[in-house]
Amino acid sequence: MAIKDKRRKVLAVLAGGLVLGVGAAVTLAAWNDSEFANGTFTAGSFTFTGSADGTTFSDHATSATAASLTFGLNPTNLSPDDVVYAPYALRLGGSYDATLDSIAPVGTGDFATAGKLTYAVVSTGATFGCDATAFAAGTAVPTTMTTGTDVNLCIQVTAVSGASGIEQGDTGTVTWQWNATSVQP
Amino acid sequence: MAVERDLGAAVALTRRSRRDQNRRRQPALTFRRVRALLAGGLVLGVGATMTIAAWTDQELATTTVSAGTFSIASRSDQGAFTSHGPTETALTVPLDATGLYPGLKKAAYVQVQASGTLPGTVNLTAVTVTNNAGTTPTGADLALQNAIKVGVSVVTAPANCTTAATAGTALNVVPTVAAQAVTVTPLNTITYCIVLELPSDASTLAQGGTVKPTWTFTGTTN
Repeated sequence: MAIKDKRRKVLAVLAGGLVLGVGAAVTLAAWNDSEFANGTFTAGSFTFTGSADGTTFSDHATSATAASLTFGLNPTNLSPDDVVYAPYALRLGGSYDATLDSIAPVGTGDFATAGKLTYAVVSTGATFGCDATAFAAGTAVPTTMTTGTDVNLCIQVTAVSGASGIEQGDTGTVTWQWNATSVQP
Repeated sequence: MAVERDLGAAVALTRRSRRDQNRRRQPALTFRRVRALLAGGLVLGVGATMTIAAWTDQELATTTVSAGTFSIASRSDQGAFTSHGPTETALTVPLDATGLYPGLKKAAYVQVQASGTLPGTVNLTAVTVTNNAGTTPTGADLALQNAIKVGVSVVTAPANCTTAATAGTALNVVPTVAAQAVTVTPLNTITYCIVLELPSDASTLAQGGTVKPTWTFTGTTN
């Protein structure tokens, strides 16, 4: 019997608790207010242009629209061991910095055969222009670039002498490529 | 499965040993939590990869490259310049040096030009002497070879090539001549004057001998 009473008391307390719970829930009804946050989302812009003269920059995104390089010494009358130089500048526009990848130059025509020409590219820092002196003073091409800071390049082409080197009358084109990939600010 | 089987066996255990049992279950729980975190991490990883997708753009620059050509051609009269290579007929120098006798001196010129698209230099690089049959001179031929003196010099025009030039080099020795620049634009012409002399003290053994010297001019691009 004692156990049964105790059980009743517990049930009574629990029932009271339920009622209290309801009362408390009602009391909690209150003013409410909401907060809204708003953001404008816009895609950033990203442009990567190049210039063969250091002043006029434009997009050359395919090999068909590649920029024509201007060599200090005409590269259309090469003899073995000739070395010619051309400048090129890269510019990043828009709102992102980028990583810069230099792709190995691709030769066509007689120069599709490797070993007739050798290529090298260095950075000339803030100065646009390329000759033997500028090339010798050049540094490695950077792997990152920022908007507003042009990357000035100095391209060197050497006609290789010897049996597997350049032959009389060889002709073809060589195309250099650089890829920029935007990085998160 | 192993855990559940353990639980079944633990029904009769005291409360104290059940706590021990719980403690033993702890590693399994930790493992589950770690696994959950890892799963979460995987999801985060996928999200991060998406964020890395970026814009790309490329720049291309191109040029036409061509090799030039280089060759030299020569003549010994006012005709056309033609190539006389190792596999071609050698140019005959009109020294008119047959019937030589001691004290006789002959002179003739050879003109050289670049005939390709590239400039370079040209130089007298070799001389070979044979008898009329094309073999090594012996006997009277050898005596004649040893007696003859030659000289090769550069003159401004064919008219300047006379027997007044010095002939002091043995026939089988390459006379020393400075390398000459051959240009393409404008095209220039190098005039070599070859003088040949049978000195007045030539050996009588040279009588009746015949020799055939061949001089080699070599052009090289700069």
